[in-house]
Amino acid sequence: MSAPISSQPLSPQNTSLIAGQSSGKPIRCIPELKPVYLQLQKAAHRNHHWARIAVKELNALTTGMLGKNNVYVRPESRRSSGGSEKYYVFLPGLKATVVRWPNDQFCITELVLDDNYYHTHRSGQEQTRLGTYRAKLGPNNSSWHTQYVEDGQVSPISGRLVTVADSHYETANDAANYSIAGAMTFLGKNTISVRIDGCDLHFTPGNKRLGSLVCYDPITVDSSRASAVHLAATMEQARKVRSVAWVADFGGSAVLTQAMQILANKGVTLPDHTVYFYRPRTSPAKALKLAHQLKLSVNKNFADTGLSARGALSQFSVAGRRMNNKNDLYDRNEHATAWLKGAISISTPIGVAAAVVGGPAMVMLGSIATAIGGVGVSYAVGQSVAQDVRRRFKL
Amino acid sequence: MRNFIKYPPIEWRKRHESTVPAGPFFTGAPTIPLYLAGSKVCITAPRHSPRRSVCKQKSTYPGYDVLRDSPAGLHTDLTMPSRRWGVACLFARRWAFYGPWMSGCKGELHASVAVIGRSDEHPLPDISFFNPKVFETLIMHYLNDRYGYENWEGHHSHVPRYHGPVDWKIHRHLPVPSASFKICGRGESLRDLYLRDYLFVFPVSDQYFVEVCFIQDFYSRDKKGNLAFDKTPIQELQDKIFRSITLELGPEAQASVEKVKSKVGSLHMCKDFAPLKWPTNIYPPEASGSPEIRQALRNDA
Repeated sequence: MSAPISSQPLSPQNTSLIAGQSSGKPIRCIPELKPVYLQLQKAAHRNHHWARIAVKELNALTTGMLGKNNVYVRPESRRSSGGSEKYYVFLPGLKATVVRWPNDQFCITELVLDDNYYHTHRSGQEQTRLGTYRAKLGPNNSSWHTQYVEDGQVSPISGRLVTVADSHYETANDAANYSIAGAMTFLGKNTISVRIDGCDLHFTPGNKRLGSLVCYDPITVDSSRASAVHLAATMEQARKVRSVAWVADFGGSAVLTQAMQILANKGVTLPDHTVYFYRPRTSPAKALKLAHQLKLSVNKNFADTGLSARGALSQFSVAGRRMNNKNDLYDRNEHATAWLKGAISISTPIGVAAAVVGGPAMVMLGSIATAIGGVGVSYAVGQSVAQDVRRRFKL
Repeated sequence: MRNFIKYPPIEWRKRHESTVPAGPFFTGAPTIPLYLAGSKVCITAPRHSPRRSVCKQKSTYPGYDVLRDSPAGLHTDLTMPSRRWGVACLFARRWAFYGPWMSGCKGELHASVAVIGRSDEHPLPDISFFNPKVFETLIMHYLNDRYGYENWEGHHSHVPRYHGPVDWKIHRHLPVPSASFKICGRGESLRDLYLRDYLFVFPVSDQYFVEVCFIQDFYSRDKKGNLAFDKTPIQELQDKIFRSITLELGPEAQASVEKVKSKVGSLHMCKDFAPLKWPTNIYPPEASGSPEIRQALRNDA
């Protein structure tokens, strides 16, 4: 469902006003798109979740939300001639092209809707739709099963785990089977609530993984923007639910960080919730800054970056910020542990490489690496002995 | 083993084109014996070969009898809100089906075998699951508890998530009453049905029955949402595994079967089973709560 841009120049005379009649910047659309927009509005009144988000966000253009940090409105890379600027608006199941005229009015020139936009529960589509799913252990408790949630809300259960999956999975079941295992490492050994009540899954369809070492800034990832708008709406609706944990798995970090950016732009805070990044494929530092802005309750450990040196560096780059924030549990002690652990994770490969390559210089480097590792171990041992002594003498 | 040169488990050039995928060979697959209160259930299935290695298989130690050797009995299945059933999964495997020349995983077949009985808080003494009429009522209650309560929340809480049982079929190759059927997922109207679970149930003792569950997951669809590949290999493997299931009754179970047979006559269940009225928040099952069920089951028997 798309309409071509008509040949004659667009002006207030040959376009119709759809929003901003009384206040704000007027928004127009070309006459071919008027029925599409009306249908969208009608669906929004009937509580269609995607349409409701779409109408709300398109109307929000009247307030002029076109900042550099805006996640779902992106300017076209090359400027078109004639003083009017072109923007792309990414929304769940929909992509719109908006032109800003020099007189600061907006005109929607293109609306591309997903083929199954209005069919919420269609048999073939149920597992491939962007949105929130309830995940539960299936019959005989051997694999995960997901069910699409029409209004996109998380279960109003305190302490709910919400997994934000990477894209690149064909169905939500597949995403659940793969991501929930990773997200559960956040809970540590106590996974009983997830096994009994299940958890929620935010699913992003797509052919490629999100983010990478090349595309490490989450705000530059394009294919997750629509999904982030949906997740932001879900997060905002879940504000009243206590202690919800939003856990991003692999490339889900791009979606979650973008959603946090949207909420930060809106000025929403989520003091009851927490976030965690399991093996993020985008920068955890960026996400941490946003987490502080959203007043999220961050745990001592904020991300598991595994063996990624870049992830470790990214985490260290915000350590000072975390220590200065009084509401962050991260402290000097944790920092020392993290630093030594990081040193070990980087020094061990160097030590191994040195042993393999050989040579006198390499041996020296290897011994340095081993020394760092040794300091780490003795630090850890010292800590546990100190804790023991403190406990024994009730210090 | 399948042809690993043409059908490798690699997804370097993913395509959603019409192909015939290949999965594990059934010939030469091992037979797994499962012991249940002296009876022996055998199932032949290929080795576990999932698409994602995080999906682990479930197995039982050889010779271990879950009903006799486990001191605490079955664990109550907490995923069902009613908490009336105890479930122990004895066997679960997945098999991935790959398209030719690294065109990606097309689908997966999941099979599991579980033994199910009433939980300790909701026992049903004095009845025998071998009685076909009792077993039918029992399956009805089980399906209500397992699937019936799920609905499309919010404004659509009157619309059930599942529809079933459909394609009810009784089988005569086991010495006990047995039936297979499908549970479908459904959308707003009954036109939007899709197959979810294929179930096969039969009793193994007076208080326990076995549920064999097959689930097919499809990963390759074209732009219209239709299947983009031929699913017959998946169905074939499922049929072969299904046909391989055998049951040898132990002496105790044999005695109770004889007793029921002399009392009722035929051991066959009814030929038709209409889909149940779901969701249960709109249509509460008539006999809910433990004493009433017991009375209903007694009347049936």
